[in-house]
Amino acid sequence: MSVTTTLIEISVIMSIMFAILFFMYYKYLTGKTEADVLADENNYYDYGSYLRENKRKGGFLSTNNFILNDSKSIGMRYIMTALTFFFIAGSFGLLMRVSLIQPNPTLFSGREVLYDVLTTEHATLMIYMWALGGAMGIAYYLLPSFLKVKADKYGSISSTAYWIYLLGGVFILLSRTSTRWYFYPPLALQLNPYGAGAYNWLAVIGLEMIFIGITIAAIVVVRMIILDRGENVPLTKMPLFAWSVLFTLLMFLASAPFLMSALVMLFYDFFNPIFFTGVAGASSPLSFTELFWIWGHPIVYIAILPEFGLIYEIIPKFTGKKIFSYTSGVIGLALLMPLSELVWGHHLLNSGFGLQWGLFFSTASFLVVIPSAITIFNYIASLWSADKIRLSTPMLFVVNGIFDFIIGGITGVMQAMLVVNIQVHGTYWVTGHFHFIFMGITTGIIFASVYMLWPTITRGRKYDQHLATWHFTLTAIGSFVMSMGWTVGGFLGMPRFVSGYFARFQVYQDIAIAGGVIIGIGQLFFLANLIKSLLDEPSTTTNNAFEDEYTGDENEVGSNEPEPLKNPTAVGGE
Amino acid sequence: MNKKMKIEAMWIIGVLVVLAAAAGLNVYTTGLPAFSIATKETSGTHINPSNHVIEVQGEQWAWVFTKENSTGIHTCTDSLTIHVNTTYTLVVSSTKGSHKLAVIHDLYIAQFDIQVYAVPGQNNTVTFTPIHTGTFIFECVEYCGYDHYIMRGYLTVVK
Amino acid sequence: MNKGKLGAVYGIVIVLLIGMSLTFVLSAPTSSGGGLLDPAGLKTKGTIDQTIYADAGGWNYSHGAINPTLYFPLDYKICFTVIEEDNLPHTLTLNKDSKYAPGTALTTYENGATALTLITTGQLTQIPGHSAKASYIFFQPGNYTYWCTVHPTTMLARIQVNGTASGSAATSIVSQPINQNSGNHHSSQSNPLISALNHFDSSSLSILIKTDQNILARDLPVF
Repeated sequence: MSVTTTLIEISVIMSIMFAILFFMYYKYLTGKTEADVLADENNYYDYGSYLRENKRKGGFLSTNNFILNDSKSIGMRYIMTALTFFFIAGSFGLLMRVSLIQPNPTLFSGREVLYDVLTTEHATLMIYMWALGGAMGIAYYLLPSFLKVKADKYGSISSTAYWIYLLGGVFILLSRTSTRWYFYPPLALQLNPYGAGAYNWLAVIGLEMIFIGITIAAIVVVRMIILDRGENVPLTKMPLFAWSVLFTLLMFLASAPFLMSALVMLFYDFFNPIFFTGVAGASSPLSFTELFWIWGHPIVYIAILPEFGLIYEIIPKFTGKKIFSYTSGVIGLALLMPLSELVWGHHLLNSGFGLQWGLFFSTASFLVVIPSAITIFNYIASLWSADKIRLSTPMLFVVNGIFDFIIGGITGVMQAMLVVNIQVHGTYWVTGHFHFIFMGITTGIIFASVYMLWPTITRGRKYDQHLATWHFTLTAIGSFVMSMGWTVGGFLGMPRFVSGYFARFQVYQDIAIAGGVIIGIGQLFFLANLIKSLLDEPSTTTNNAFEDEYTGDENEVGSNEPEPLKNPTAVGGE
Repeated sequence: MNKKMKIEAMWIIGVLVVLAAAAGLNVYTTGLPAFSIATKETSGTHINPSNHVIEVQGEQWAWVFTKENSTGIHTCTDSLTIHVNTTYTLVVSSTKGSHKLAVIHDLYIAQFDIQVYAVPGQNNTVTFTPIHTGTFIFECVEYCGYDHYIMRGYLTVVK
Repeated sequence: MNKGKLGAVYGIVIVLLIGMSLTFVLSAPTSSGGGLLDPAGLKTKGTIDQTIYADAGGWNYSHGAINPTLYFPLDYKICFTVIEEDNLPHTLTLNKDSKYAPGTALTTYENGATALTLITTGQLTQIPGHSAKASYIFFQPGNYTYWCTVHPTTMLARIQVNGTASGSAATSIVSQPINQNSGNHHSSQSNPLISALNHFDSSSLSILIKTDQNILARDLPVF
């Protein structure tokens, strides 16, 4: 076949593809224009909300979510992406946990690096795609109703940000990096299976893209909160969830540039190793670790702050009373923002920065207790002063989240003490500590919110209470058993991130494996619940309990006692 | 006193009790024999010349202990045997071994409450005196590549 | 419009995505499993060719000493050429020798999870005269064994990797045997480790890891 024939064939194929693409774009534009006209005639400011409310489109799985650019559709996109990556990263976590059943490598013997790949992917995807993505999704979805946003003008920018973010996550998955989510450099620069994996550079690009995407989205959401609020929602009476998202995103915007610049320097090192190589004349590799943890500590608060705000929204629905103290709630959330920027050095207490460094960051870490305790006591007081608490699935997740956060928080404060840190740094204690918080608060509250949003995301179906209870029970028990096994074993010196370990630690590893398997089974109940609901016929309205309070036309938000749920069966109540 | 005030007072008292208990526990545990099995000080420059200096080099993937005395240079890989009631100073650093770059390791001796990073181009020191004989474990707890998990071994304290 | 079937589609898509991701991640390049991968970025000091003859009676059965101990310097890429001498299947398998004791005969090897099969039965043809090649770099000095998993009782021999002399080793195969007691000036103290190890429970000892070779094999200097 001659070159000319090939060229002609290629050009014909390309022409056909362009014709198809043009036709798709034409159909999209026509439909959009029609919807725009309809929305305008019916006094909707954007066609997305018109379609959703009148045509029953835009549910959880609707492809409209990926075409329409309004905040609600983008929120649904983020939630769906987060859930998908949760299942992928969760299966990674389960597999690597099972591979530790014996002290010597079993499943991956001779290929131990697969354990490191799985762990790195599990950590990175869970933090950036599940915790961050889920929080962004719920913020995008709820804030327009909470704040009675007048005009949603930045949809196309948000959409672009979402696609950059998604591509970044896929790049991280494709890179199969084994560098830990730290990206500590002399190892991250070893582009071979013995170091960080051959495609670690792709992970660096992917992480940078996630940052770019979330930064754009953060600016849009902060603008929405500050400038686009409805006339009758003053800043001082904003829902606490809006406050928590505002603080989270400001924290993100304040700390992300450090790691973004560090990643650019790291990427340059792949071609011309001058920054973090650790050879004489270059900077110390520790300079990267500093830049990393200036970002890396705020991210762990970014993963829980929106969920703190969501708890403030969920509790009143199930107690029928307002939250105990709005002011201290805002103060608690607000204090976490500056304090989280002050404590990052406690991740490097043993690196040889000296005792003074350790004393400062150890003391600063203790200060974080104050806002956390304000928040937690606010929840407990709200529950305590309630006459009646309706314990349906979302509320069960909230109660379990508070319980887990207290254990995770106390272990966190303990490990910030200098002498305890030497004993537990780098061990499973730390893993247990943050899994208490991430399983209890991050995962639990996102699931609670998904259950609250259930009629909306499934377009008018109720969840199966039996399956939901099983999901909650197994998740709560499994995460407690897993984290507790790690915490105890870690205190005795069981190191993290190893594919083989001393035989004396086998009992703790096996306990953790049992917990991990229980969690994994529990998530199957969630999946079954989702599928079962979607297979049923719609049985209720698409309103959800979150937005009930805000759909009316009251003059002020949050001024009166919350009403009882309009649709209690939709969230498993009564 | 209304209900809210009462609850707030209980918060404050509860927090004070927890803080006092934590402080007491901290003071108590640092004085426990289990925690004073080794005494140590971390310092960047000062090494007492009477201490026995052991150079610890982390490489991918082994700990190499080197000591120089009047009889020559002794080297041990992934195991260390020391005398009881003798003060040792570990000078911990990282070498590249047969690889292109040296990476960060972290020497962790659990039962001695010793943990010190091995950073390329930086000598971190830690001084300790074992007061019990026995066999203890040490590990690398900073991920350092393919065979990270075998960077571990036994530390033996003999009479 | 019944879109309820979307639920089933969603479930299938999730399961497919999980399966695809797991397959993809688990097929990440590793150093073994799919054949030995030359570690990129490693500095080798040179290449050493080593030819051995595979015969069910023993390695090098009709070529000089049977089951010869091979001496290699550290950091050299060792290219093994296995030439078949009979019509039986063989493998070339390596592992560390944690039970090494000087002066004793080699009777057993460490099989199991940690062994690395350089040349599998599939690479050999059971035709005398056929040869297969594989290479390996020894990172750490110490004692290793090489054997054939089909005939482990007869085809079993030692490899010693000399760490200390690697700087001066030429490109010839055989350097000096490792003096196991070099640098040890405390041999009069016998081996205090044996008694110390008795403090371990037996379960710890039963799964002795690779690093334990140092404790058991050599008389260690007491610092």
